[in-house]
Amino acid sequence: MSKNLGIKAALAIMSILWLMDGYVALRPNTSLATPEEVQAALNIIEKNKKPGDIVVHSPLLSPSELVHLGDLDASSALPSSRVRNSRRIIVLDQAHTKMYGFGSPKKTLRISDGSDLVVKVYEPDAAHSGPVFDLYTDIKQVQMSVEKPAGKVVSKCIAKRPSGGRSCPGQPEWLYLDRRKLVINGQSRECIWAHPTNNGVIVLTIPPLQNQTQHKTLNLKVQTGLTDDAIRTTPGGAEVQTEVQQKGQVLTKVIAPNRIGIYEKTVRITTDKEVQLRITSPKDGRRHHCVMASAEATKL
Amino acid sequence: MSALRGSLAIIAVYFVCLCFTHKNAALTDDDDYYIPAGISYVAWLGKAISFQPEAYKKKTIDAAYKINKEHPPFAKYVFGLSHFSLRGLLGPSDSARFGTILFSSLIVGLLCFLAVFHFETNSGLRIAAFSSIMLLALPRFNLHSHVATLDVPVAAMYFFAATMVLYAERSKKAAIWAGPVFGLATATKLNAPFLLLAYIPFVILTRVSELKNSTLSPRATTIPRGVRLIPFPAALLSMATLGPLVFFAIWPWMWTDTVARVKEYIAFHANHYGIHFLYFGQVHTDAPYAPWHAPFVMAATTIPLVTSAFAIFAVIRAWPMIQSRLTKSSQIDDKQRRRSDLLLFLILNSLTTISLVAFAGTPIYGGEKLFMPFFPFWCFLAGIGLNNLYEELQAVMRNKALKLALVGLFCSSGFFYQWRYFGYELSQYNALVGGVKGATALGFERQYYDLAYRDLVEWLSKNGPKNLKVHFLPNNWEYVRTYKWYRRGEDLRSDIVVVNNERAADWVIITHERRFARYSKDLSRYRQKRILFEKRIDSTPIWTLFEAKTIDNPR
Repeated sequence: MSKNLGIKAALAIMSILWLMDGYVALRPNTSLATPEEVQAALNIIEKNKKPGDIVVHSPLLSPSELVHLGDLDASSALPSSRVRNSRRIIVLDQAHTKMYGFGSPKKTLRISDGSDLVVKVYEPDAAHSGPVFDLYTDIKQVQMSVEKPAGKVVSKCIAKRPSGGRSCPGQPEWLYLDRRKLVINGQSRECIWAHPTNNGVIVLTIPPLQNQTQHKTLNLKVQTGLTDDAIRTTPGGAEVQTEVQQKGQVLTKVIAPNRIGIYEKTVRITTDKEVQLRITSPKDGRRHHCVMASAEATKL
Repeated sequence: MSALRGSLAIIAVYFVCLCFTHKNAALTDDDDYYIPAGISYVAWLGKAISFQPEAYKKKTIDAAYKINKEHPPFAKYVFGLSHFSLRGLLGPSDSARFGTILFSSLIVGLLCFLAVFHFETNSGLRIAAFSSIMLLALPRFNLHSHVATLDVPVAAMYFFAATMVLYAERSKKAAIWAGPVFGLATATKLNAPFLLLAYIPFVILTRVSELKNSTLSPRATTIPRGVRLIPFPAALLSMATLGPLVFFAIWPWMWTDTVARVKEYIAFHANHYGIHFLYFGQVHTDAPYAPWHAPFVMAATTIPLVTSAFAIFAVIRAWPMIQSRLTKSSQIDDKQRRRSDLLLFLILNSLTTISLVAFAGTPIYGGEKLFMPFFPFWCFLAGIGLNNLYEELQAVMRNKALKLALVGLFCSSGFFYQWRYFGYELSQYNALVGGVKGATALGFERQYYDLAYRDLVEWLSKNGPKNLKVHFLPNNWEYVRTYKWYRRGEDLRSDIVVVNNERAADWVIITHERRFARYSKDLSRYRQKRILFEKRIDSTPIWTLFEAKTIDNPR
C-alpha cells in the first residue's frame, strides 16, 4: 500500500516537472509593447526623474520597443551594488518578469491595466553610503572640451561619435569622451577615456551636484592610470597629470607615471560649483589614459 | 533482443539524429581554431606515415603543430580526418565538426556497455535507451555534439577512461587498456586527468571496505589493521605509466623542448585569461571570478527538470545499496557489488566533474561548456532512476506498452526545449528560472560562444542586397572568422562579407549580450535605426538586424 503511494507520489512529482518543462518550452512569444505604451512609460519616467537618477530598462525589451524611448539615457546594465545603494534608480520593467537585483521598489507606476510595462522607482537605502556622482555612470552629465593652449577652448566635445560617446570637432579622432573598459594594473576597469594632447589641456567638467544631494561638501576620489599595454609598448613614455580644480583653485594633482598601476587622490569639493579635471602631458604618444572619479559623502 | 543488437540500435538512433540536425548547428568562435589545427595536424600525419624524411624534422613538426598548441591534439586529429574524408559531402567546416558527432556517439556506446554489463540485458538496454534519449534531448549538450571544439570530445574520452577503470575492477585486460585510453583522454583536453579525483576516492572507499570486511589469510592477519595497505589497482598503474607515454607519443609538439613546452601548456591553463561571464546581473571577468556556485546553478537551470529529478531519484535509491557495499562488503553478492560500484562511481564523477570548475580557482565562464564531462554521468543516473520507476510501475500498471509510453514521455521532456530552441541551443534555460525569458531578467546571459546562427546566414543570403556588407556588435571580429567558413562552404552567398569597419557596413546585427561593456551603448546608438529583422525566443530578443545605411542597389 505504502509502496504504491510512493510510486504514485513519484509519478505525480515527475508529471508536474514534465508539465513545467513543457509549458516553459512551448509557450508562445508575448506581443511587444505598443508605441503608445512605451511613450506613456517614457512620460512617467520623465515626470519622475530627478537630477542624478539612473534609468535602467529590462533586458527583455526589444529594440522595436526601445526605439520609442527616443534619446532617453537608459541601459539594461545592472548598476553595481554601491550605485544601487546610493542612487535613486528608475527601472522600466515588465510586470510579470521583473528584473533581478533591485529589491523592493518605493513606487510602482503602471502604464495601463492591460500593459505588462511598469515603471519602478527605487530609493537608496539610507543605511548605506555610496557615490552621489560617478564619472562612468553619469557620463551624460560630464562636459569635455579641449584647450590649446591652456585657457583657450578650441573644441567643445559635443559631436555625436559614430561608435559611441562624443567627439571633439576639429581635433584628432582619438580625443573623445566615452566610457571604456580597459586593462589597467592587470584588471579590466570601467573608466572614462582621457587621452592627453600635446600643448593642450583636456578638460572634463563635472556639474554642480547640489541637486543630487543635500550635502554641501563631498569627497571626490579621482583615480587615473595608463593601460598596461600602452606602458609595455612605450618605454620612456611621458607621465599624464590630472589636475582637480574648483572655483579656479587647484585642489590636487594626480600623476600617472609610465608605470603599471592606478594612482589616486581624494579631495573635498563643494556641491555648489562645477569641478574640472584638467588632463595634460608633455608628450601625448600612446598615452592611453583613463580616469575614474566618484563623489560621496564620507569622511576623508 | 541481444545486448549487442540492442546497443547497436540505440547508438544508431542517436547517431542518425545527430546527423540529421548537423547542418543546423551554429558555428562557434572556437571552430575556427580547432578546424585549421586539425587540418594542419592531419596533413603532417599524412607526411609522417608516408615516411617523408622532412616530416620528422623539428621545423616541420613545429610548423604543423604551432597552430592551437595550447591544447593537445587527439580530438583535432579526428576533426582533420573527418574534414578530409567528408569535405566533398558536407563542406569544409561541417565535415570537420562531424568528428564531434563520433565522439558523442561513443558516449552512447559506452553507456550501453556499462548499463548492460552492470544490469542484466533487458534492464541494461532500457537504462541505456533512457539515458541516451535524455542525453540527446539536452539542448546544450546537443549543440556541443556538433561543434569542432574539445568539450564533447573530452566528455567522451573522459567517460571512456572512466568506463575502462570501472571495468578494470573485473577485467585484467581492461586494467591494462585503462592506461592508453586515459592517455588519449589526457591528449584531448586538460579536464581528463581529473578523472583521478573520482577514481582515487572510489578505490579507497571500496578497498577499505573490502579490507575491513574480507576474511583475511592467516599471513595477512599478522599485519596490524592500521598498517594494512590498500591493494594498488592495476588500472592506476597503467594510467600512471602507459597514460603519459600515449599522451606524449601522439603529440609531436612535445617531442622537443619537452620541459619548457609542458610548463607552457600547464601555465596557459593555470593562468587562463578572463572571459566575461554574466551571473545574476554582474559581469565577472577577472579574479575574483564568478562564485563557486555558478556551475551548479548553470546545471540546475539548464538541464530539463525531469532529467535532473530522475538523476536525484537514482542517487536516493542507490544510497542504501552503496552503504551496504561500503560497510558490509562480504555480505553482498557480486551482482549487487557490481551495481553499487557503478552507482558510487557515477555519483563521484558527477560531483567531481562539476566541482572541478567550481573550486579550481580558474575562470568560470561559458555556462555549461566547462563541465561537459558531467552530462554523461548525470544522464546515466537519470536513466537508472527512470528505469527504477519503470520497474516499480509494475505494481500499479500492468500494460507494458503504457508503461513504456509513460516513461518515454518523461525522458523526452528535453525535446520540448530542443524544438523551441532549435539552432539556438545555448539560449535554453529550464522551468526553474522560467526559460530564457526568466533567466535573462534574472541576469543570466541569453547566449554565448558568438554563435553564427544558421537561420541568420540563410536570411542574409536570401534577403541581402548584392555585395552586402554586415557588421556584428558587440563582438564583430569573431564573426569575421566564422562567416568565412560559411562562405567557403557555400552556406552564405559569396558576395556577402562581414566587414571590420562598422562605418562601412550596410547592415548591423546586434547580438544581445549584456556581458560586453559596450552592449548598452551599441543598443542606444542603434535605437533609432530601422529594424529589418529580429529573432526573439520565449519573448526574449536574441539578435536584431538594423539597417545602418540606405542601400542604393537592392537585389
